[in-house]
Amino acid sequence: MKNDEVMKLELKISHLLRWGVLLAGVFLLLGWIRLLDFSQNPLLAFHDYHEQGLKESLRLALEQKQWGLLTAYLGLGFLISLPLLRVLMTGILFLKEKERLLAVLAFFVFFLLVLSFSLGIEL
Amino acid sequence: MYELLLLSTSVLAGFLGSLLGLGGGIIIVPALTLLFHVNIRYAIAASLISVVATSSGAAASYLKDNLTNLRVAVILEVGTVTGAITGFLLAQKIQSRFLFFLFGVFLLFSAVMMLRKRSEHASQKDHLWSQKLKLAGSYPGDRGQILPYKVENVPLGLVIMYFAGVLSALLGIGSGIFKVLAMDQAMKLPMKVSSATSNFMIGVTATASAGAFLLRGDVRPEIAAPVSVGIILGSWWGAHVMVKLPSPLIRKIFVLVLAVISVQMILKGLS
Repeated sequence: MKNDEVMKLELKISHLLRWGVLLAGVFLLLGWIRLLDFSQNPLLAFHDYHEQGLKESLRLALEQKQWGLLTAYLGLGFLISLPLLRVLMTGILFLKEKERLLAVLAFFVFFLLVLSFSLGIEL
Repeated sequence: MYELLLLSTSVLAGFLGSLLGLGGGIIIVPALTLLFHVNIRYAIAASLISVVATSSGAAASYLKDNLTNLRVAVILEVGTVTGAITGFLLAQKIQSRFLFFLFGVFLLFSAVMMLRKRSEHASQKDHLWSQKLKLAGSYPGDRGQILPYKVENVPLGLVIMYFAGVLSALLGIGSGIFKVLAMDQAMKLPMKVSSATSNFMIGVTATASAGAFLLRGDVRPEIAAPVSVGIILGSWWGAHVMVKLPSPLIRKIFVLVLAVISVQMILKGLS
C-alpha cells in the first residue's frame, strides 16, 4: 500500500516533468528560430572542436546581445535541472514514507548529479 | 537551409528510435558526424541533451503502466550516474578517433542485439539486498493477471549499470540496451519490467554527463536546439504511429543499415 502511494506521487512528479520538458522545448525552439540564418551554414563552425566554457559563451552572447542564443541556453538550463528535481523529490517522497534507506540512496544520486555538474565547471 | 535539414534529420532519428526502441542518440550521432561533419564531441553533447528531453518527457507513461520498479531504478541510478561521471572524465582524455571506433563497435553490438529473440521470465529467487530493500514486485501479464517476481544478483546488476553509465557519457546515448541486459539477464527481472525501468532511468543517467558537458561549453545551442526539438517531435510521432512492433523485415533492413553505419564509424576511427 505504502509503495502504491509513492508510485502515485511519483506519477504526479512525472506529469509535472512532462510540462517542464514542453516549456524547455518552447525556449529551445524560440531561441533556435531567432538564431536561424539561411545565408550561411552555421554547422561549419563546429567542424573543429574549440574549448570554450559556458561562462565564456554566455558572456559573449550577452556582450553581442545574441538573444536567440541566450533564450536557447535558458531552455537547456531548465531542461537539465528537471531530472535533478525529480531525484530530489523522489528522495523526499521516500523520506515521508519512512523508507530511510531508499531515501538515502536517492539523495546520494542527487549529490552525485551535483558533483558531476561541478566537474564540468572545473575541467 | 542546413538548419532545416538538421531538424528534419532529427525528427527522423526520433521517429526511428522510438519505433525500434533504440532511442534517437544511436542515429543522430552518426548523422551529425558523417553527414553534417560536426565534431563528434559536439555531436555527443547534443545527443545527450535530446536523451534527457525524451526520457524526462516520457517518464509518466512508463510509470502509468505499473511496469516500472521505482525501487530498483533508484538503486541502479547509483551505478549509472557514477559510471556517467567516469565516462565524462574519460571523454576529456580520449581522442576523437577512438570515440568513432567505440561508437562503431557499439552500433554493431546493437545490430546483433536487435536480432536476438527475448522470452519472458520471472525469477523466484530473491537476493539478500533485494530482501533488505524490498525490491520484489509484481506486474500485469498479457491477460491482465498479476504476476509476482523477485530480484536476483543485485551487485552484478549495479556493476553492469556502472559500465552502461560510462558508455552513455562517452557516446551520447541512453545505453538502454545495456540497462535492459543488466536487469533482464543479471537480475532476472521480467522483460517488460526491465524495459520500462530502463526507460524511466535513462534521463537521470544522461543528465549526469549532459549537465557537465553543458557547463564545460560542449553543448552548443545551434546544434542541441534543433536536435532536441526534432527528436522530441519524432519520438512523439513514433509513439503514436506504433501500434505493434515493426515487422521483422523492417527490423532486418534497419539492422543492415546499422551495420553499414557502424563500419563507416569504425573506419573513420581507424583512419
